[in-house]
Amino acid sequence: MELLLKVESLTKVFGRGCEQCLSLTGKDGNRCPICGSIVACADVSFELHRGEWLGILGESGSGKSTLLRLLNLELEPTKGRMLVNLEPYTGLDLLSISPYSRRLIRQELFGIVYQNPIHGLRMEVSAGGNVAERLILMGERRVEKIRERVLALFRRLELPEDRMDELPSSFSGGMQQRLQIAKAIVNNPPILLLDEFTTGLDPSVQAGVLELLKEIMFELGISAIVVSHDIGVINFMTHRVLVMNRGRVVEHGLTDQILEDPQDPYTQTLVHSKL
Amino acid sequence: MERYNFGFLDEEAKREIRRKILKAVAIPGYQVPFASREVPLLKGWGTGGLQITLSLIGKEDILKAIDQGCDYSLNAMNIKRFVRAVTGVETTTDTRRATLIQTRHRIPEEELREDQILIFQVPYPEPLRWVKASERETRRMHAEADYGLMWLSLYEDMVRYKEVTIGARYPVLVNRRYIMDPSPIPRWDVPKLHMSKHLNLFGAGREKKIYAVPPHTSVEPLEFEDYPFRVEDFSGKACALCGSSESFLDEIVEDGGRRTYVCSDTDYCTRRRQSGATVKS
Ligand SMILES: Nc1ncnc2c1ncn2[C@@H]1O[C@H](COP(=O)(O)OP(=O)(O)OP(=O)(O)O)[C@@H](O)[C@H]1O
Ligand SMILES: [Mg+2]
Ligand SMILES: [Zn+2]
Repeated sequence: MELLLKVESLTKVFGRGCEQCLSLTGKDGNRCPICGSIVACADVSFELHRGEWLGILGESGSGKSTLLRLLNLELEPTKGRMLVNLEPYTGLDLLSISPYSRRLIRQELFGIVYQNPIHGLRMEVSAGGNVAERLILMGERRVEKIRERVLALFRRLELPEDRMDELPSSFSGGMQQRLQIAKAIVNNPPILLLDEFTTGLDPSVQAGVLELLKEIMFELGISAIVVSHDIGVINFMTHRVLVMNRGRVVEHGLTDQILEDPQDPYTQTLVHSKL
Repeated sequence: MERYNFGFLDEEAKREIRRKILKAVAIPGYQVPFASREVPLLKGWGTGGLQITLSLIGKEDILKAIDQGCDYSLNAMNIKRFVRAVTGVETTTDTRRATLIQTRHRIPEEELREDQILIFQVPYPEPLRWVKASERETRRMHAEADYGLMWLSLYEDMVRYKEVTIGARYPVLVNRRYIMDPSPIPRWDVPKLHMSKHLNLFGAGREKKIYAVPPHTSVEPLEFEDYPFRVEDFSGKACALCGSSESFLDEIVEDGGRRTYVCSDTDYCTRRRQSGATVKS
């Protein structure tokens, strides 16, 4: 498979940080005993290939969301590099560019779905408008074309067409997540970032959303990074997985192998407690 | 007023404002913060524009001041009287003779030249205030050109009303980079900013911002192709004084309820009448 994204030593320390932050955290916790800063991600490195679905598994507080927000270029990293193998950006460290270029590149390369729809949707803007935003930002200036595309996505995501111009706050939880997905893929970005996107949903709704999304991802041939603490979701949605604990990657490999035969003790407890 | 410096402001204040103007010209459409001074003017009446005028004006300049196109409004007269008193420069109503034109809410009908400067008084400089209340956020949005929310508000207007509901203060994209508030000029005047020959300077006194549209700079109203930007429609109407059907008209409702229209630009209207234009009957 062709390399798409390469992440090197991605690190995020919340707080003022000190020399010892990285060396004194990771074993017992993620708070530096010297300066009190939180090491949310430490030296995370991995590669993502074209069409690949990569899982990030870990319990609450292990740094999954922080990692995803770093990848989405919305958080300033403490350290690290991020390279894409896509023209015209090949060889460019996405973390070293100006906020202005970063926004342009982000909207072209990434679609993101958050656990909490409040983070992913503009609740004061109509559902259709939410989906339309990216298209407009990327230069589409024909209302007719915009609405055609939004309508097509509403159909594909089984959202009620006649509620396109209503506010998303009137939508059910499952509909809001499907709306976030529509918004994330409206301009066919190469990479989809999913952060616990079914966690807030009723179990009866979860399966349907997962099934539909998987189908769409397959159709699009999109690459994805799927964050979850739910082994079922990781098993269903990913080819490979990174296991995170206290901001570190403790194990990585093919999803089947890791879930069947975890090597790291932390992964073992995670897998066994959930099975 | 002899005890004042030429131009009322002290030289240091004028230099600081001129520096900010240079920066504004260098970054078209970007709002440059400046240290706004006290100038003796009625509140709410464009001390931002006046400070720009006072810091640029020289002995050779000829000043024109208009309020909504009118040279004779109390406010315009006050400005001219004040500047005359603190500088001794000549004032005029003739758009063609003026080197500096201070304006509130209009651009003269007559196309301005390279050697003229148009100075706008701006009540609210922030075009994104429609969609975001926080100054800190709007500053970030400009820095990143994060204009999605602004575009969405126009999109929602289209969806709901089939047109953009903004009248005056129509938002524009300057030099393909910054969204700018052109001050409360009518839509009619917005196209005059695009690739203009003259320099446009905008001053907001209360909000302490200066911004500029330099000559030959693109200024595009935010619009969708299938719902294009349109100026006010005066078709079938003409000025009751000079007969013009090519100028921005003010509506006058007479005692009997009859509506008539006259040019909002008084100098333009006067000159047309002097050159023999009449009302077609
Ligand atoms: N803005 C912030 N300021 C300070 N600390 C933060 C901030 N955001 C996250 N953290 C801390 O960083 C660590 C990692 O948090 P993160 O949200 O990335 O974990 P997570 O794996 O997504 O957890 P969850 O499964 O609960 O969503 C936690 O200790 C968290 O408290
Ligand atoms: Mg999280
Ligand atoms: Zn007239």
